[in-house]
Amino acid sequence: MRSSFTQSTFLALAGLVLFSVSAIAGIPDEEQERIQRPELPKQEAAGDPSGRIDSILAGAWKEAGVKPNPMASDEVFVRRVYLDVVGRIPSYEETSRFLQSKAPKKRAELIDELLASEGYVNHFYNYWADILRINTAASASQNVMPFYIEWVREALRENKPYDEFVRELLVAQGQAWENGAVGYYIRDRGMPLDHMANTVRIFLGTRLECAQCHDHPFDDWTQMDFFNMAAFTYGVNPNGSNYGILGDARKAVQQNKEMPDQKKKDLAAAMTEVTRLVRNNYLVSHRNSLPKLPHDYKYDDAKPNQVIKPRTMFGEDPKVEDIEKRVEIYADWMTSTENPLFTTVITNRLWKKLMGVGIYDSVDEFTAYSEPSNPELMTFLEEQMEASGYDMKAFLRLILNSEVYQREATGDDIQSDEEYAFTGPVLRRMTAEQIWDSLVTLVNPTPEMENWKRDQLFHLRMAEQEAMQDVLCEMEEKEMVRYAEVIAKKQKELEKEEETLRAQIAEAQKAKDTKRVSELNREVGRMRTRLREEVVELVFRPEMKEVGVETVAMEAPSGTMMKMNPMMMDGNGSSSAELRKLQAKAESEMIAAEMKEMGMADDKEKKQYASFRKSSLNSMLRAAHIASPAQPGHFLREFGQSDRDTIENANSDASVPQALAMLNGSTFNQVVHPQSVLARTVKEAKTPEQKIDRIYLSVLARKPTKKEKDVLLSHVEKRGSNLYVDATFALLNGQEFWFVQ
Amino acid sequence: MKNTLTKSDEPTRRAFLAQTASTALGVGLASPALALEKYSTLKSVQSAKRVIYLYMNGGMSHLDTFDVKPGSESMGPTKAIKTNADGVQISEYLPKLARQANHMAIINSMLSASGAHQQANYLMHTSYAQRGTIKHPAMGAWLLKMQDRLNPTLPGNVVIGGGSRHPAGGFFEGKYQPLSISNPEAGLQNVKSRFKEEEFNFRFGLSQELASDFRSRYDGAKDVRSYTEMYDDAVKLMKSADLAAFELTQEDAKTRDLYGRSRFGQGCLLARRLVEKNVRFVEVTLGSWDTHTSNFVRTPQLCQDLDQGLSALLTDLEQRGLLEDTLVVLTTEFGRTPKINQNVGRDHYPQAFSGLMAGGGIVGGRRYGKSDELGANVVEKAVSVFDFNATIAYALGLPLDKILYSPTKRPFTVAGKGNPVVDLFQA
Repeated sequence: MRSSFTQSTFLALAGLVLFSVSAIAGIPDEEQERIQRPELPKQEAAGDPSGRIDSILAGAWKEAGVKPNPMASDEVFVRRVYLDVVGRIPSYEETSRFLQSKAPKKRAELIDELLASEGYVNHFYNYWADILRINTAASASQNVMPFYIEWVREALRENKPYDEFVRELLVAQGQAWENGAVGYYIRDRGMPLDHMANTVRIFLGTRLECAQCHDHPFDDWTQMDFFNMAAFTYGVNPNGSNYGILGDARKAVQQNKEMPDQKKKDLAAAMTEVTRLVRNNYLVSHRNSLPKLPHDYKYDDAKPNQVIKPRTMFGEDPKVEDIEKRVEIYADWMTSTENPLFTTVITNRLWKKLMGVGIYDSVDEFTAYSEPSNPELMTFLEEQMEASGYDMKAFLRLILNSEVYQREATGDDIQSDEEYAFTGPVLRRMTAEQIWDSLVTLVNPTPEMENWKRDQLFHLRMAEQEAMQDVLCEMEEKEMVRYAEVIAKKQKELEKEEETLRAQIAEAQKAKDTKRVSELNREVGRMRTRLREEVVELVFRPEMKEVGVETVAMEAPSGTMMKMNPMMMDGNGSSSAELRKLQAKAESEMIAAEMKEMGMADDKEKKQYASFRKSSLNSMLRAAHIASPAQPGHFLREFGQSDRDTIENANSDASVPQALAMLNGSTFNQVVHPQSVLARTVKEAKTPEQKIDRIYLSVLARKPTKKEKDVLLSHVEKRGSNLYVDATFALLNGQEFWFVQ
Repeated sequence: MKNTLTKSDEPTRRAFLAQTASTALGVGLASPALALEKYSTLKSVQSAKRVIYLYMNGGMSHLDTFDVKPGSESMGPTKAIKTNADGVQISEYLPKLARQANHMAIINSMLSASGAHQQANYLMHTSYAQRGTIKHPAMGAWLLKMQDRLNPTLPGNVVIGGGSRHPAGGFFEGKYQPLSISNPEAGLQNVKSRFKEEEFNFRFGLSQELASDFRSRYDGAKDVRSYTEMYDDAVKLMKSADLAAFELTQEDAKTRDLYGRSRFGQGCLLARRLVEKNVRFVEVTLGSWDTHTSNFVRTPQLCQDLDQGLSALLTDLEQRGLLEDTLVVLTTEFGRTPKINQNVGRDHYPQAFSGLMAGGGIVGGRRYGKSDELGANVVEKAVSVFDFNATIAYALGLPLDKILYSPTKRPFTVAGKGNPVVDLFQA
């Protein structure tokens, strides 16, 4: 139970959010009002809560007549904890440092180090991206999703308490550059009912989607419950914009009695072209609308098409008197400790994330009949979750430090999740991201590095978007009409040009000149881009020059700040030659610094390293830093990365294309390239034995057994230095690599 | 729910009520066998073993292809031509197909519930409206789920040039997901080793040898075993003679020219090579048909590829004796407006559009259903998206009323609420 003190702090926060949503994201950290967490009475196990997990489980083992798995070796532990916390295997250096350490608390220290690292952010971003269905592929959300991603990542980085995290998503308003959390609503643009079904599933672990169309057949939920819940967020409008000039100017043109109709049409079309450039900057705001029941509603408690008011699906109804406050009320109700499912769901989620099996068998399918396999353990963990103030890192630390987490993995299939006595974590196949990120670790010496060139371009583009939007906000009707005339004229010119091109296409087709046809088609295809470029040049750039475009300082990986402004892009939002040159320079500096650090002196080697590094910088990055999700057909997708269409849609099913990708795909070439981390590590060792040790430590975080080493050494004479490629290939394609033990 | 009740015939309704009662009483779901027996009231006869599904992406103009209206103002400059089937006319842009009309049942009375690309495309592929909470399987996945593969080595479900928005296998297990090939000329990815055969064999053998300890330690884990099987299958596939099915270079230049050297034409050729090896479901995409501007320049261009590719496919399948039990389907998300817009284009139009079926038990040489003289409204024998898909399922002998449950425990059938157009199988 949360003390009343916390509740009032919550209300204070609610007020803050209500009155200055946009301000929150912009306030520097040190000024931000932090929620004071109450000191809770110390539990009996407060000194060693991880130990309490083990003593509860010891009782369960006794009862079930089972023995716990033996404690895991340092080798097994180091690989597991890296994969579980930072989502990739440890590098050779990281493994060696841990194995050689004699520190008495080295496991606990490593856990702390990993939880504090950027790797944690990368890994848990992947985890939440699958739950939140974050998708950068849809072009309509290209101006929003990167800000949303940054918001989620920053929340993980600063370890934002889970209840605040959820609350900020639910109450988010404004534009993405002010508050990235608005991405939560924008993701579900156009489907307000599905949005509620998704939210209830994610945060309350409850399936309401069938109640969208009829009463739930097995559970207690009615269709009315569903619409009552949907009424809370039905007024959230993720489609808004903050400039009214388009409507105003159109009206002005429409009301002009002297203007011929055709001209009115042309001007309206031209104005659309002007505002089109910033149309993807959605503004999330709250309206007062309420949902209606479907036309075929068939129950007795209401009539079809009836307007439905908000009411919570369980718990004490918070009574919405002021409709404008309903979103706050809903967010309070959702994230309150009085809402039992809220704590249960996240507790069970994180336990399952580390142990492989939940205490409730499903993370998001709670029904009236759901029961925890170990009620005492569940209660204890929920108390810890609440007592920590929903501190996710503290909660993970609690489990990671328990003995049960540090035991050997259970390999045999579990007959039923309900009956698993948690004798240790369960053997799991790595997620697609864990596999990919582990390969990145074998190739890229700075595996956590960001996709900085892409990110710079994005922020530059958005600086321009913001400036363009400001121009529109300041623009008066007369100006708009004047610009529309200029653009309409341009449009006519381009249309004429297109007509000529079409005629030429028809001619070329008659002459069966397919090469010419495709050339001309490309020209036609460029017409839209050209119109966009003209609008930027004729309307926005002059205005932006007048007010002066701000220069944006951006960090390059070498640590230097780069000064940039939106004029460094071409009219289509791509990098200009100038920008590319700047970025290439920063990249060369970064690579030069790396080589200096490594003490690389040989010119030939330096050349090889620099070229390898440049070619892999855009591709061999962690999954969290490439397209989210990756393109269909990408290695990640073959291995089951979620398409982000539905919640937690990733899978770890074996498939033949996976084996083919690992056996024959191009990624292997990167791993064994002479300048990869792995190849350089192997090269540094002198004897074949040492080299084999290093391959095993790099790929599997352990030394080879005598048998394994003998097998490999028996081929050394015949295979020479090829043996190291052989061994790498064999380990990556052997099952051990694919699994988290 | 209401629809199921009103549209199903009597025994089905009884079965439904029985099931509802048993779940309401907490007895649980009717057993699958029982459900099947009671639900399969439609007598499905398998007349097709394989499907080649041609998807016209972007919304194919019906008036400028298969629903010509000679003399109507909605035709613009497009003219109709005769075909080798009595009384069947099609567009002048499809002269080669006009000589294959005897195989084709052209459906002129199609209807969709959506006029937006993504939603309509999804609906056509899955028979269900697109939602943010679930992803439904497309027909190829239903086929494998209900009937399995015919060739145990090659993948059973292939999509050629499908793009990223294809609903694929939806909520079905990974093994029913289609294999996606973006470029038919490039064929199947990663099936060739980068090493010499001897070297590959050595390395693969080494991986097996070094994996043995791990395997025996975890031989109780299903996942570990399935990776062993998966590697065996992968190597079997790499060494399989059937793999040549993916290589278009094995066709002579004359055949490749016959299909046309467009991506679609070569996709059709690849589809033929695959069904020849008993791959069950192959989809080939041609697009984009989204002719909001310059419809009468762009549609003829697209028709050129379609005409060449599809006519070659029908000829080739017939000559090889495959047309008899291979169903060829052509469809799109919606048609285009009879009214020609100010950009000499046509806009989205789901109220009336056309598709076609050939082979696989279909009796060709005719038009089925009818739109009015403008091509604006269906006036005879409407065929909904659901009915269209039910017809494909019917040809394959899939039980239309068999309910499969998603992991979210919601019930789905292969063609939603569709009824097959059985007339198409009768002369």
